[in-house]
Amino acid sequence: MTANDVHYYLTKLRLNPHETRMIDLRQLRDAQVPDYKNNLIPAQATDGSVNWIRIDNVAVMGRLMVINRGAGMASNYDCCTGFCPGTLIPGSMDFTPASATVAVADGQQYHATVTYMEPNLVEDPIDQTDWGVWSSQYTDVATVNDTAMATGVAGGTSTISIAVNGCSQYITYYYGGACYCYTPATEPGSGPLGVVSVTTPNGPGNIPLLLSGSGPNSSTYSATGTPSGGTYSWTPTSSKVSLSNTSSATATVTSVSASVSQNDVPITVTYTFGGQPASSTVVITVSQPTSLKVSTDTTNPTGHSCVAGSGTPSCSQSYIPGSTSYSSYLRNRAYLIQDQFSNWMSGWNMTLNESYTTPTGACASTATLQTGSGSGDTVTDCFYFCNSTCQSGGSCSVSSTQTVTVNGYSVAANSMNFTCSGVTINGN
Amino acid sequence: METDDKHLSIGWSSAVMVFWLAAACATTLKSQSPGSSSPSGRPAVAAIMETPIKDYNVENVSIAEALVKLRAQDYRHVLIGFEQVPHREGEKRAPISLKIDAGTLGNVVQRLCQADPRYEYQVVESPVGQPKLKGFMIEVRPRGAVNNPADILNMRVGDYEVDSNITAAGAISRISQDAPELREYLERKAEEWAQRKGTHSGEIGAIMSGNMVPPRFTLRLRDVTVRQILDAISLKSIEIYREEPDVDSRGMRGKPYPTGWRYNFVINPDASTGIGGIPEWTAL
Repeated sequence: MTANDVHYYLTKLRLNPHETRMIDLRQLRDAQVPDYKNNLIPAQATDGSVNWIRIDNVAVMGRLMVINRGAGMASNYDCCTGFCPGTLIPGSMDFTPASATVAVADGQQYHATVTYMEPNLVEDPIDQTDWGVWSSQYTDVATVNDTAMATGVAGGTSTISIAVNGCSQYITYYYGGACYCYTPATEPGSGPLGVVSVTTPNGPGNIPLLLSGSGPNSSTYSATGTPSGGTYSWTPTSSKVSLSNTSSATATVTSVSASVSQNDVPITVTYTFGGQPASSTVVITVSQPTSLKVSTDTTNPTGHSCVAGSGTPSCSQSYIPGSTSYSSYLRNRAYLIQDQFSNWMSGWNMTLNESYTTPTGACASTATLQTGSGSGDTVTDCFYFCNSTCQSGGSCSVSSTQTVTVNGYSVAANSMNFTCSGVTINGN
Repeated sequence: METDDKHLSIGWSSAVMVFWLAAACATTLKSQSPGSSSPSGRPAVAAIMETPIKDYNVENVSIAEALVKLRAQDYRHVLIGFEQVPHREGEKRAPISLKIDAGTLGNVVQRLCQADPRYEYQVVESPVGQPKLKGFMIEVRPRGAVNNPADILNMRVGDYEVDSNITAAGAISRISQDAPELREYLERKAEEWAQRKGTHSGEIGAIMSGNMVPPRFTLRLRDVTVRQILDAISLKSIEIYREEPDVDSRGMRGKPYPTGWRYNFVINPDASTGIGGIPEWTAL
């Protein structure tokens, strides 16, 4: 309708066959609700004109009545101008939003408005949101239903499209009074819909604590956000870890203090694209090396060679003074390193060390203690005893307490007793 | 307490110095100048000294424990070589307490050495083998240690070579076997001790290892001191840390951080080592 030179569009007015609809223009004026083009019916308007358009090839009757509250119907205009419907104006599609981003499972409402030309050359925008054919380029990224509601399915970008079918040129056969479409037209509209998602941070389920030594006590965690080109932000929600490189796809998580319960440390990554954030969280455990669990324990009575001379000792061979060699026992023991929850801290190259109290016993002062160190998630120890007294058939014993540390934490204190015939560990 | 400790330290040093001087010709102990400090002992300003330190707080600890805590501030950048003053087993010294909310590594080390004036510190600015890594580590050591001919870390080594799959920590702990002159010296002293005592030596084996195969550690140095070797091993560990992937080919995580060293000598005149105590080289 037009009042005071202002066009006010009822873009969604659509009649069913044989329906008669009354529109209270005064009510529309007083409501002061903006139309599709943000126009308002002037509040002071008391008269104007009404145009209507039909875009389907069916007849529409229109009647404008002016009712005076005191005098009843003051005016009554009846009109049915033109034989043919309005024609679709190619390129007139107004598709909104032109681009959008949503999170997975969130929705985005689209709108499509096409402008038609009335036979009297007045242009009318018509909301075709519910009447066009909607589609999504990649339905595994986003779907769209008949009412133009798109829903994010998975990370990525999909083009949301609508096709509005119409006619851009009619011809009329006056004799029959019929109107035919001469130039069918399809008006397209589309825009990219970014569905923002981020993968679950990829990294180990636990991070060891480090008290001293060379580690480790940190790990990288990676996530991938889609569509590409967004920004990353990592946040711990626990003081048990600290984070660095928090604005990249890969962050470094460093342990600070031990978990109280398993998986009590959440690590969250937030990926933001087009102003739309998406987050993902993984929960981890900060593991403190706490104990050792025996995995294998074997003894070979003649597994070690006590060689006369000097050199670098190993599990299979060591050196004694004199000129003759002999065989001694070799005990091999392996342990799994466990955390405070008695879980094996598998997959970590932890720093392993051992120390011994000053040996005591009959041969303590004559023996050199050979120790070792290493790294890994498993501790292996080999025990042997080479002594000239043993070689000559005498008896000898040396006692000491072994302390094993992993990443600087003491995980075992074993009472060791070496004799000529064997070694006991905590009496075993 | 402090006075007692000083007397103990001086007394031991004098005794051992006499003992070692007799062997000095054979072992060609020489003093060294590993760093570029001025004669006053002031260290050159180096990047490591500017390493930020936050919330450093130690209470009633030894300087060794304080340095361990300092290293824990930043394992990637705080690299320390620590030579401990020789001491008897279980010997205690007046403990150190220090709290620094925000400072630098230089601040902390300086304060620690003030708290235990038996020590001095120096940035390693002329590392052998890794000239590009000058200024990447510091040494904390007994005052005058580099000029002490009796200090075993000043022993010269003609040809040190390691080429095996060991960690830097392993190379440090094995230096008494891998440095020929040091190994021969220790073996000879142990043998002499055994002969004097009329007893036979033997070996107790308790050799620990892990299931990880470390990356190749290759280092060859000529005409250096034991101290320079230790520094070079630590600096080599920086190279390895930079080059190694976070996860190795077996899926094992956690490449070792750059590794410092610690030398500890526990005085025990009856030790079978024959050198008046038990030397120990470990990672810090």
